[in-house]
Amino acid sequence: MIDEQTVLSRITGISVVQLRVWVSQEWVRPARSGATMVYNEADIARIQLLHLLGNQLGVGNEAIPIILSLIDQVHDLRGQMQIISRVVESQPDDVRAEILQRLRERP
Amino acid sequence: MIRVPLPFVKIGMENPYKTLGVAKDASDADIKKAYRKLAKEHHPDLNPTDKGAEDRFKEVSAAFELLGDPEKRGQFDRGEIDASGAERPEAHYYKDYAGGESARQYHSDARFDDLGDVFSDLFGRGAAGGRHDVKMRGGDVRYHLAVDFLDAVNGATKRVSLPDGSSLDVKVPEGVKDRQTIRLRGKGQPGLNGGQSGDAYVEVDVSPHPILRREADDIIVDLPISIDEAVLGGKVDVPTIGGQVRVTVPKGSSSGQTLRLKGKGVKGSATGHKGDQRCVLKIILPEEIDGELVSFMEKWRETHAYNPREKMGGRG
Repeated sequence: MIDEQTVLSRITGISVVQLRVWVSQEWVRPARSGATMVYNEADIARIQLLHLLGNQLGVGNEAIPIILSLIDQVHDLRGQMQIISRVVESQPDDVRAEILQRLRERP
Repeated sequence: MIRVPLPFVKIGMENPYKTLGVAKDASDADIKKAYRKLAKEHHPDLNPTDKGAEDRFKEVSAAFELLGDPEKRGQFDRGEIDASGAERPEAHYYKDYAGGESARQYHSDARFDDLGDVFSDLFGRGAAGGRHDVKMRGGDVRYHLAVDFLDAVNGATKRVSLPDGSSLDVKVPEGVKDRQTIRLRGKGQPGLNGGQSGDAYVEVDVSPHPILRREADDIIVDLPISIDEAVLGGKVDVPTIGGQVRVTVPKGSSSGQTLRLKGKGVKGSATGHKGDQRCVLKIILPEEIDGELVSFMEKWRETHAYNPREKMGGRG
């Protein structure tokens, strides 16, 4: 359970105002506990990513949601590919060989 | 033989100027520009499939850590610190969490049960209708709920107020554990075009009880008894998760002995069985040791001395 104070002490270079803007924009989505926010490690990593994009690489606030959305889509697609890979992997050898063959032919 | 002092050897990262690809007399702005360019190229979150990106970015960011700070840069140029001093602690990148349980709040709507884009391409080919009114499942939301110890072990219904002013009744199941997540189907954001609503995930934070502790499905309590109860035995009141119960302390009980109350523990969610309550006895002497007790003990000791530390090899 990580509170706002801890987030700010763990990531140097961001301000409380900045963090709250990111939360209000829903770029970071901590869990709500009554009126306060509770962060997890994924939230922290995402804040670090926002710090990199916004503060270090100079990406403007208009571009950030576009980048985040693309990053989220990449990870969703990767997740889906993993599901497909696992399903293919669990098939009998001949079915797998058939699928791989078809993939090579790139229909 | 004369020993020649070895020249100062820099270990760790190679020349940070070389890493950033700038000249030794580059301006601060040039260094920042070079760093930005390399970070865009090599940051692991911007290159999640490139296995080498993490190592390269680490080097780049360590170099920038050093050269991006005019003070540190000066120290480095004067040879006061070496490049290895600038290594960052192990970084965690968003990509390490993305797709995992803890990043659920960032997953978009593509779900297997609702056939996301990839799956509808795979299996939906030839299906009637176009893809104009794609059903979209609503997003999941995450909440955090503080629950009292007794509510957690006995189960309860708790009201969570939502940011939009509405509220949500959460049924806390009997025996819920600290950090456990309760899933409320369909209580997330509404779906699009008749798609399913998302789910709400409520993480439970169980606050400790002043007296009772939980160990798996057992409840542990330290049970203080008086010296006479220890010697003579007796009935004492003990708090349990279901209220007070009367327990018999057997004659001749010692500190550390455990009384097991069968079935007075927590109902395990996996087993469905109730655990036990274990009362760990603790003999407490009276606050004031009166003369009567002292003289009795002195007399008693003359004829009944014993050595409880025999097994430790100690002497009486």
